[in-house]
Amino acid sequence: MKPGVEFALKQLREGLQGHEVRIKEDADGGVFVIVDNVALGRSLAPARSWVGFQITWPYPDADVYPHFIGPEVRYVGKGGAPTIHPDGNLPTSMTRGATMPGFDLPAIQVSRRSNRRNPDTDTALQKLLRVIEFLRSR
Amino acid sequence: MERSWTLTIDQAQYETVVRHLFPGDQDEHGGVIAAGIAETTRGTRLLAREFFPATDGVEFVEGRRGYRMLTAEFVSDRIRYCRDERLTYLAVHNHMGGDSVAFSDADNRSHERGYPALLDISGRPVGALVLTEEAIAGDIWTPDRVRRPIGESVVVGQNITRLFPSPLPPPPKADEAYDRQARWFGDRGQALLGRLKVGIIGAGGVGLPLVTMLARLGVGSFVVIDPDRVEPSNLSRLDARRIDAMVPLRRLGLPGFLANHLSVRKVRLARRVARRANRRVDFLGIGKSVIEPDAALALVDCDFIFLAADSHLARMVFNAVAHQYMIPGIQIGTRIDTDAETGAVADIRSNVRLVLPYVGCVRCNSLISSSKLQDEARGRADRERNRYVDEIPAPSVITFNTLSAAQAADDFMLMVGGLMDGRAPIDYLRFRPRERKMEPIEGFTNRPKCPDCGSSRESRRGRGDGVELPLPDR
Amino acid sequence: MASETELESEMRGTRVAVSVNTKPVTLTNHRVTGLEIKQAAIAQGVEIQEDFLLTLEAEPGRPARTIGDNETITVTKHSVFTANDVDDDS
Repeated sequence: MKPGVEFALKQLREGLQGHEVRIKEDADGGVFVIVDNVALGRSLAPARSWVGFQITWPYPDADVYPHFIGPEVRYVGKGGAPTIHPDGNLPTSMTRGATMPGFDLPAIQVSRRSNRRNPDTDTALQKLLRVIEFLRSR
Repeated sequence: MERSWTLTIDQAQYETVVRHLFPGDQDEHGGVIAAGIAETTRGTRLLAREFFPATDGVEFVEGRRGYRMLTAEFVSDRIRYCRDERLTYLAVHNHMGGDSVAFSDADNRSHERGYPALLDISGRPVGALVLTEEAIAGDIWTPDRVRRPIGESVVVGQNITRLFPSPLPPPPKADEAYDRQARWFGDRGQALLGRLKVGIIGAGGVGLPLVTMLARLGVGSFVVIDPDRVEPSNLSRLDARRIDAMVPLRRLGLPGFLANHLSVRKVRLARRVARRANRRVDFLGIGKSVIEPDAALALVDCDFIFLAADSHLARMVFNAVAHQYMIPGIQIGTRIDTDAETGAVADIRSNVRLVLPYVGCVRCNSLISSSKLQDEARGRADRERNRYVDEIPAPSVITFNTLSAAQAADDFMLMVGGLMDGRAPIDYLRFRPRERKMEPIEGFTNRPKCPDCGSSRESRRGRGDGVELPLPDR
Repeated sequence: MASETELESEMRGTRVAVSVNTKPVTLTNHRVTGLEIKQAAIAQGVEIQEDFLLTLEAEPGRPARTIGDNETITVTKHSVFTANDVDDDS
């Protein structure tokens, strides 16, 4: 595993105490990560799901995205959801029929590309926390 | 055969050293250069990363056994810094003189007295440099107590200047094949081209004409890196035959996947055009991406590197190699923007950017996107599976590609020949063919905290083999 | 706890191995002068001279500092020294 990726994992584990963090190494020195039992807020059901992503070997120069959550999640909040789907509607930036790589799990993809990213401060942990905040604010 | 030791220093750093050593008082001055080391098949390169001037009267004082000396406290601080940073200590001082310089007996006695201790402290080579305004000599000690001279010192700037301990003998007369260009370039320039090793990342629409031009100029040695094979869509802009892309067999019904597999590799095409131009050329073609470790590491002993590939991972690796190993380079790109709805051409521009240790950093000029790095590093299978929409292949035209390749080849030739006008802009050049315009565009200043070109302790600048290049694990 | 003076008298006469320019040097006393350290190092094959500058490397809570020839210090097995000459030019 590349030293930058290892350090990102260390920050994730320290910042996410109380959550299990599962990993699988990829072929290039990066890692696939799944964080279990993340609270998604009131607008999504079930209330908790896993969140997964890949930290690739060029990290921290590379951004960390997209993120993936469990396929059973659907929008249950007030008001309409823009993405209509027979398996459950979803807010914008979320797409069904994806696959969490590394673990090969069916998933919903959450695409949040970072604009004007600063590799010194936009860590994998901070990106994950922003994605979780995004999910909770739908 | 014993391989040579050379010194590489960038123009800005060299000017700082010269200003300190030659302030106009006809006296001696001194300091220490902390240098990275690169061990290559062509010899060992010292890369001048930092310069510590010794203050006259405080750190550079009347000598005990010579005219002047660096104080023991100054030496102690510098050798321990070099040890901690895994750099090589090079004491620097000047003599008055012209185009020849050598250490005096007192200099050598001082080295013999003091350098074994410095070798033990740092565990790495140590040495000394002595300069006149036109010459540089070096005395390098390795941990096995063997001493070696520095053969050639290369100052990397808009002109690439070579300095020696004494003038070189006259060069051989250039081969008559180069007669027309040797008339203005000189036999010495032509001989230099033959000794140079050039790396080219990308052997497509820009890289292939670049190989052709440089080989015809007489560049002696190439490393060309490209993972792709020739496709039918390339034929409008590559010097390739239809059979290279398996066109006749495709027409006869050969399945596409098989035709693609049998098509000629672009590096093999590059070898063909290079050998056609110069039968004696030394050519290494690597049919892999530049991010593969054996491809990237094949660049570290090049004298010059061209980036003629578009991926952001290629830009990242190119920029790292250029700054870590202090190799001058040129980044070339053409962009044709079309309106997504109408397909009409919105803009055509070609850029040719000098990348030197102190200017033109690809990272500082915001040319490496963290999103694109992630996209490229995630791998094709994942992107396709998750319905990531691949970018539609960008338009590419032989005339725009060749124009920018020719400008890059011109820049290279003038830089290595020391013929670039000192007043020429160092900014990147942008061609706008539709407006028949070519203009220099000021880039962003290199940032002190840049991990590639910066002056902070964390940067890879000038560290040579001392740090890893940003490459995937293999 | 014993005072420093009592500890010193207990340690007097005990051999201690220090490091000079990364080479091991055995001293016969924990209380030595800078010159005695250099002389012992020379006798044990370290390539220095008596007039070299002796520096005691940094330890947690204490920066590196030079040690004069006539300065007496207490050394331990963790004491790390460098010794270097001036760099004469002509």
